[in-house]
Amino acid sequence: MSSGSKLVVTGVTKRFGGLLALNDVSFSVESGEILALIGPNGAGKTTLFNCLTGFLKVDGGTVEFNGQNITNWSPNKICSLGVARTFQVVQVLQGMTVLENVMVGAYLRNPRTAPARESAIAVLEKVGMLQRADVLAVNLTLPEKKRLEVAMSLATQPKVLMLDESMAGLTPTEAAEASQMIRSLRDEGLALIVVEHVMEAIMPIADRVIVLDSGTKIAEGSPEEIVSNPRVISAYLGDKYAKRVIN
Amino acid sequence: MKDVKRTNKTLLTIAVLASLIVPLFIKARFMQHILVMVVLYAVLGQAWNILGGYVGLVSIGQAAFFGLGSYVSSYLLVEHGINPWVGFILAGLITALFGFLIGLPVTRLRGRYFAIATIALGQVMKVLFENWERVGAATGLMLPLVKEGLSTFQFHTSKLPYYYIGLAMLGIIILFMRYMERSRLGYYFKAIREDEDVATALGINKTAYKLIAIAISAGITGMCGTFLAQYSLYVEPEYMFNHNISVTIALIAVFGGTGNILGPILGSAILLPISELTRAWMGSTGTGIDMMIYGAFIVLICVYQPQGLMGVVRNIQARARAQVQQARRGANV
Ligand SMILES: Nc1ncnc2c1ncn2[C@@H]1O[C@H](COP(=O)(O)OP(=O)(O)OP(=O)(O)O)[C@@H](O)[C@H]1O
Ligand SMILES: [Mg+2]
Repeated sequence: MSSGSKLVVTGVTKRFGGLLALNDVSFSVESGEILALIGPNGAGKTTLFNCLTGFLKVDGGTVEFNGQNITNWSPNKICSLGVARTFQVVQVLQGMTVLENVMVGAYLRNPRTAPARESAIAVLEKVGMLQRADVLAVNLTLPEKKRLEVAMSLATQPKVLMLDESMAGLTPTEAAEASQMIRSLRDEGLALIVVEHVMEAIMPIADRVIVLDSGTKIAEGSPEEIVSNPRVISAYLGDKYAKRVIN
Repeated sequence: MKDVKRTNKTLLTIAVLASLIVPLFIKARFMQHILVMVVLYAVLGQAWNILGGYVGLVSIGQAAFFGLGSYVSSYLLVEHGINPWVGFILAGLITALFGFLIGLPVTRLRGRYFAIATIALGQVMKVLFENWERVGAATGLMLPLVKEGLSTFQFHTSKLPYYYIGLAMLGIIILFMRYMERSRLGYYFKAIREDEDVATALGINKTAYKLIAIAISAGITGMCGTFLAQYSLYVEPEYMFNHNISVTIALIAVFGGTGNILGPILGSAILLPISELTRAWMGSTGTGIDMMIYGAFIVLICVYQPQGLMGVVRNIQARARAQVQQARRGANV
């Protein structure tokens, strides 16, 4: 489906008052690739998503999608272009049914109701939620809400999809299902940026990993390279522990 | 489910027939007046509902649009002899444009700040027209008394024609809202009400859709203003821009239940007669009594049925459905 899309981030910087939340962060991601974004709490992962999707204005640097500069565009325009995201604190349209939630996403590419509904049903089938179509979103369990949120984003037919801790709080089985789904999305040609704290879930499926610490990118590489990188270990576990591991 | 649908269809048919036929037997002018007010405020409640119930922008300043609409057609008629039906359409277009322009700054406000801004808007418009000599300032404009008939939008012998015109307006807005509920517009409105960030993340231009909603709501409300001007045959700021109009419209919708089509109709059908009757009984000395009674109703609804009357209706429906299912299960055993 979506072949040859590329998101290029160059020198993105974001300040909250005196706090430098993102410091000169650069990376890129393209179709058919799963990029894992990891880092300790407060590293700036969510802030980075917000900057890439227009929910926050960057203080410096650029975001380019397929050669087009989309820095500080409005979030809805960025989504229309094909860059979608989910929220860390799960956000769905509580008072609407599962199907209606996904239809809201599907309307972006299908202005008419019948095709939008068909497209939404297809997405629900894909994420395995079709039997929940008529349930009000407010009545879903947390894992179901997370899945619904992914379905809503998928319904906008993105080329780049950013998932912010979609697997947090899932049982190992559910996490495995989610991993499987992320893989199949990649195989369909999506570019994925996945923020995840559960290393067991993300490392096996990531093609590439970047590590943020205090707003700075401290490492980038294959999962194997990252887990043995001393800077990463020290960021996660503290210097003392890092020295012990390495010695 | 099918049974419920069929019952609903029967109820709807009965309601439509009753609203068409029953008024023909009502001869007392005061009763006719109440009917006119019920349909007028049902339309106004729907217009509010599009903005407040679907998009979640609670307006307590609809009188701004209402008054403006009433003045547009009245001024055109009095000063330029333009047919009130043309004025009616122009009132809709001009108030819609006005709503759009007001919406540019105001829709940026969230929640209660939007509500406060609309209250201020209503007051500002009133003061403006009270001081505008061109449109008669505080005394307003008297509409010329002409031969009655559909073409002149004036009826003297009976108030019923006004009722049927109002009913037609209500019918048209209901059809529009049925279409809206099943189209992208309605889904996007609701999505914005539920969560602006999610809506935006799904590609919805929330500002544009809020502006569409306020323009539609203002336009319909402005046309209602023309309707009341033709009914009363005069306009003055104290009457047309009265804050009570704004409050009554919002109360009707909230009382009946927002975010659905039936709510404002129920709200108007119950609250308006109460208001008109108390006003008639208490006379002009009792100004505010109707508002106090409204207040009591609203408190009751908020305490016992936060979803408005439609919440009660839904509960009854759910119970009926459960009973049907139980009966069916019983039959199967
Ligand atoms: N809107 C904001 N205003 C001020 N400071 C903020 C804002 N958003 C985030 N921050 C700060 O920026 C830093 C990065 O936060 P961010 O949420 O991006 O981290 P994160 O990597 O997503 O962390 P977590 O793993 O806990 O989700 C934190 O110190 C946070 O307190
Ligand atoms: Mg985060």
